Amino acid sequence: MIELLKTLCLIDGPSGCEDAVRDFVRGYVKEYADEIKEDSIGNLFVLKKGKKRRQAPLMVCAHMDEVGIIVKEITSDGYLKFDFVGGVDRRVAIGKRVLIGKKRIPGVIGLKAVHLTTKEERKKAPKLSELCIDIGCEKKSSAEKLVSPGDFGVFDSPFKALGENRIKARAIDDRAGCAVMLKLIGEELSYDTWFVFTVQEEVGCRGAVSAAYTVNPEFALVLESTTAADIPSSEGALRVCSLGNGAVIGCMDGGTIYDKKLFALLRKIAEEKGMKWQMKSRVAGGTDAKSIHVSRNGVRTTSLSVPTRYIHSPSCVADVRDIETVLVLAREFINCEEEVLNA
Amino acid sequence: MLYSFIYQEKGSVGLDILSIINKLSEHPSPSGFEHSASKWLETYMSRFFEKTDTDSFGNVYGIRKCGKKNAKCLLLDAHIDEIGLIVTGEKVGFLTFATLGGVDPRILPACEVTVLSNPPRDGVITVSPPHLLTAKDMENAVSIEDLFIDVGAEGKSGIEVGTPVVFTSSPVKLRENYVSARALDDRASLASILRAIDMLKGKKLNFDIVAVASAQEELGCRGARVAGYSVDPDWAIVVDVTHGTTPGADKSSTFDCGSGVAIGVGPNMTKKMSDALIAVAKDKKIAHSIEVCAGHSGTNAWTVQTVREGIATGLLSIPLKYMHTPVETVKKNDVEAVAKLIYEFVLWLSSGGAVL
Repeated sequence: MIELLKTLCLIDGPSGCEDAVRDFVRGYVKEYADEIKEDSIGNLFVLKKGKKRRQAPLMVCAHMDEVGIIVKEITSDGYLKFDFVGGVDRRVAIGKRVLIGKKRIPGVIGLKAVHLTTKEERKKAPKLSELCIDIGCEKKSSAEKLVSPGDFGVFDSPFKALGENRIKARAIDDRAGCAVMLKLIGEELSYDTWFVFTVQEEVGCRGAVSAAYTVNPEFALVLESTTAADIPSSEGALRVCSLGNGAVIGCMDGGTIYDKKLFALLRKIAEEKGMKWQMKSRVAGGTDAKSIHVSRNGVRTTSLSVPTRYIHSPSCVADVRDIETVLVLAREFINCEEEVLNA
Repeated sequence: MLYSFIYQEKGSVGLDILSIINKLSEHPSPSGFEHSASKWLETYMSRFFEKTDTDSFGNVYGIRKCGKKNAKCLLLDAHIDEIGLIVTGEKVGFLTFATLGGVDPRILPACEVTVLSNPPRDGVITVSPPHLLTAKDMENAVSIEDLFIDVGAEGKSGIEVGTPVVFTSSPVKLRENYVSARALDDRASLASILRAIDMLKGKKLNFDIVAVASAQEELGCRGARVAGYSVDPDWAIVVDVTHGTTPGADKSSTFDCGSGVAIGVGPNMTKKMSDALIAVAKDKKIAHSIEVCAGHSGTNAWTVQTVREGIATGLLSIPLKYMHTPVETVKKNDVEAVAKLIYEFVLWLSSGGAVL
């Protein structure tokens, strides 16, 4: 599982440029899938047949895209002006390495030397318009041979173990969900299930809109990575959820009030299985559920998420045990007898 | 093709500047905690020098004797220390820290670090998730009191107060001969000195050379004072980095990368040394510019100049972008220009320039 997650986290796939992730997923599922299809926006649909077919179908999804960078302009002296794809606090980009475009041109996001700053300047985060990517080119003409406006980029951040049970990588949001789905696709399932690897979650849960329409499910399970702020500078409810405390079962977030019966069912499964679970202590963020639960005549939607620190930064941190827990609970959920799910 | 020279003297190590920088990068040495890097560096430097040494301060010396009795001596200095952090305590498994040297806290959120415990531990500096922040929050720099190091500990981290920390980053090659890494301040300079020494292999000189990789520059140019006293040279050349031109920086206080070596001029540099360095650069057509320092040069030249009876001191600097960040960036050509100027200066000094 962790090796698989490592592979996934090192593939570049900012929103709108998920091709490389999709190619990897397609290759991985080929030997297990009963049907694979792709739609115009780029979602990848994988049907895995089980022993039975549900009258009321279930769709499981995770998003392939990650937050990233898009090149906006090349300056006369060869620097790249950029914007973020998805919600990135520009303060985490300073002093980081990036890889630009399909050729993965290395670059750095610098900061004016501290020696040259005033006290007032040091109190403020530089504006995005003041930041630029340095790929070493000294002239616009030489940079233009390597990079074009519209090229996507990602943070260059290795996958590492952190302490005994934790990992550090970029794009854990939501390659963790993708890894769980790939594991499940490789297993024997009780029922036919559509697994959808969605696109453009980070720019407004857009791939899920058409995905839910296409699959037209009765139930949906969203596998995600969610904001954890269990750090000393956050207190009380602002900590949202904690690493090592198990899977987050969706109750309510910025985009969705999750199905209450499915919440109760997941909670029951967790308790019967002796798996840790938690709820978010703050209504924050959103998932593909936002688009799915209002699709067509409504979809009963629930979610399982991996608590992730420093989410949307180059250095996300998650607990391996929480990811394993999400896998166990998702497995139990998708294998639930029809009457249990419908109850 | 000014920069395309390749000096492959007989018996030379023949190391490229970048391979020296890569090697130096593997050994972290935050200010005040240079000793383990110094130990390694002494061995590494022994391939360039017939004799090497260290002192209790953490300075490393490479000694090249000319074989003459009572020979004069040239000191070449670059500092081995780098900026970093130091663990000051622990809060529910997260480390609190202070800075070692001039660290702008704005580079810290989500920064990867290496905690130099035994064995070293990887860490990440905390940052609040954007989902919980307002646009206004993101306009302000995070203060260092709100930042912690996450080493993945659950409960006590087991890391002792006083443990030093460095940024985690290995050198990456950018386009057009640029390289980016942490601690190029001042590893790039040390690389230029080692390169110059390598180029001088087999050359007969009439004075000794002692190169020092000095400790604790970032805390106030301390190691160089000790080294200057120990070596007691007749001349010293300090090599350090200066600010490379970047967008947003005042051009009057920066030097374009690719413009060659910046030669220091001002009270901190002994005039005859500056004059000689400029004359050699001109004569040998080495790309250079003049860096005027009205007072403190902000380098080891400051302390070296007044050691013992005083040492005739010159300063050479490499333009470096994004100083004191994990992505310090230099152009290889500028590092080579420094190496070449040291090489040519030494030859000039040995062949009569000794009027200095």
